[in-house]
Amino acid sequence: MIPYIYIEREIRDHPRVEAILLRHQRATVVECERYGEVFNPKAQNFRLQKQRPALILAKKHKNLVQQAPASYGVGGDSNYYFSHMLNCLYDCRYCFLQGMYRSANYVLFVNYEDFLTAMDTLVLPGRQTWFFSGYDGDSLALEPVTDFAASMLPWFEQHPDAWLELRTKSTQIGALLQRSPLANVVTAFSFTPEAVWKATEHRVPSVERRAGAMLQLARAGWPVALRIDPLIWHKDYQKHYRQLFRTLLEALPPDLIHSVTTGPFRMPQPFFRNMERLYPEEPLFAAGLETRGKMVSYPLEREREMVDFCLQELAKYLPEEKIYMNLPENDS
Amino acid sequence: MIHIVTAFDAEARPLIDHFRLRRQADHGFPVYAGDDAWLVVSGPGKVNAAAATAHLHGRAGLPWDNTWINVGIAGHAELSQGEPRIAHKVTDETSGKSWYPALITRTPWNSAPLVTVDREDNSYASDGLVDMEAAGFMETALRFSSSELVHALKVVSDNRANPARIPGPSQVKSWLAPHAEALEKFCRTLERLAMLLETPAGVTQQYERLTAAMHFTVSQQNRLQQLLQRWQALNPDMQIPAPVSEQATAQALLDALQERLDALPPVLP
Ligand code: SF4
Repeated sequence: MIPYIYIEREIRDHPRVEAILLRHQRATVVECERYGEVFNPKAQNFRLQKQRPALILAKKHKNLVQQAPASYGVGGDSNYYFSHMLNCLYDCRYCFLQGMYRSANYVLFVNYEDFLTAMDTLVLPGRQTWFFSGYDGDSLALEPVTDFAASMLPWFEQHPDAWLELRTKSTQIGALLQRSPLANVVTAFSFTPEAVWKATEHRVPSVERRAGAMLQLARAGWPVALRIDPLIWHKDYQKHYRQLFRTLLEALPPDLIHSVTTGPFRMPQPFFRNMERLYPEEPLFAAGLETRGKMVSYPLEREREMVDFCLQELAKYLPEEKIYMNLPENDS
Repeated sequence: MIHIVTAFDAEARPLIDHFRLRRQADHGFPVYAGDDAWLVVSGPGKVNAAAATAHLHGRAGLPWDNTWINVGIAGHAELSQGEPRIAHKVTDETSGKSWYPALITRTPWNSAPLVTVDREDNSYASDGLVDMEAAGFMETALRFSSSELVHALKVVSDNRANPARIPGPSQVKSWLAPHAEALEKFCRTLERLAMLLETPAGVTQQYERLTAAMHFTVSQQNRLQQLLQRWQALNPDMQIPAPVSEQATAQALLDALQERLDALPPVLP
């Protein structure tokens, strides 16, 4: 249950706000001028707020859709990302959000139509233009609150050159299953092996449940994708990743899989320092990492070994053109 | 530790009794202390509230990320006298600045917005609580604690039907006393949560032992703290081994500890 809902005064009467309030009648409503008043102050603690996050309803004014990093893509002609939400229902210990934001409250930008207007200016006929959602949170985990996917799909149906990636660790696929599938809307499920899920992905549904949701969606005709990202090194990682790929890919014929991306754990150094401060007792941050350039990551050799292993394993199930590497930031 | 700021002695009394606080020999503001709580009586107005909060912070040993609560009476247009509310938004009417205390645990009281005014206001035009201190308290307490741990609890003393007049001390006590128990429970819950932010005890112990035994520069102290934190995360019940701690200089110790830690493979919790 969401205990508090902060609302920017400007959007108090927005129909989407009204609808959310109707579904959360027991929440206390607090008005604010701009969401940053609640979300940005220094004297806040992400770890404490994660105990009981509130929802902040806001309007996004600028930079609604942004160019994706050059290294990111799944075969399209141009790549953009957008964030209708900041923060996430889940609590993965390796997640960069906890290092980036001071507040763990969920911010929802309710002016979805403005995102679509911004996208409209970027789509060129005959060119595949990708819009990646879920950069600053999970695209579907809060679907019952946000109605985001359900609201975006009609536009994508009208714009076949525009491709949407819904990136998720959730099993919230109801909004998709309720309608006929769209070839240009890809639901990308992120996975780590069961041992990593258990140790680090707090509140995330089990690998089994997510695999089940993915299969259900694929069988209903929706394109699905796998995001094996970030790769987390641990003893027996080879055995565990091999097992994960077997579980996921033996159940799902390759022609139902749009793409697989993989990439190692890499974190901008300032975010990593914040995460260390938030969780001083966390062994995940305490060993086996090094600072390379502006990033904290595994030593290059270990990183390469792990990436090569996973690429080789994935190639046993999928043609090469469906497998992509995602290397955040520069240096090899 | 709980830190309480009230404007008047009558607001403080039920809490002094409940927490068994003793008067301290302070100049400037009346300060009370007990085993697990501090209290200061600020006098009326946000400037006094800010100054008293800063005074108590110094007096309590400059604690970081502790629980702070401003307790007192306030006006409200509609609510009955004696009704308690915890603030979910505090606005300084003069500057227009607002703070949003983060309520990360269930509270025994409903919440309401609170406006701090500079002069007594009998208009009851606001749809929230009206007081004269909370904004000064928030502005100051948030310099040394986090928004989840800094709160204002007010009990309604006047409303449109019973407009402001200065209530007698026994009246004020009778409004506040019934909430002392719940206030303590609420603050204890926050304290438990605040423990998540503390440096693990093992790190502090080893840090104190090593810095007492040899000289570390300020930057070496920071590095030591960071390395000990990593050590402790990986070896929760272990001292750093003798070959490391018995190095002749601080620099050699830090390098030896870093070398040991960097040689370890990544660990899953
Ligand atoms: S699901 Fe993704 S966005 Fe959410 S906490 Fe985990 S890593 Fe972060």
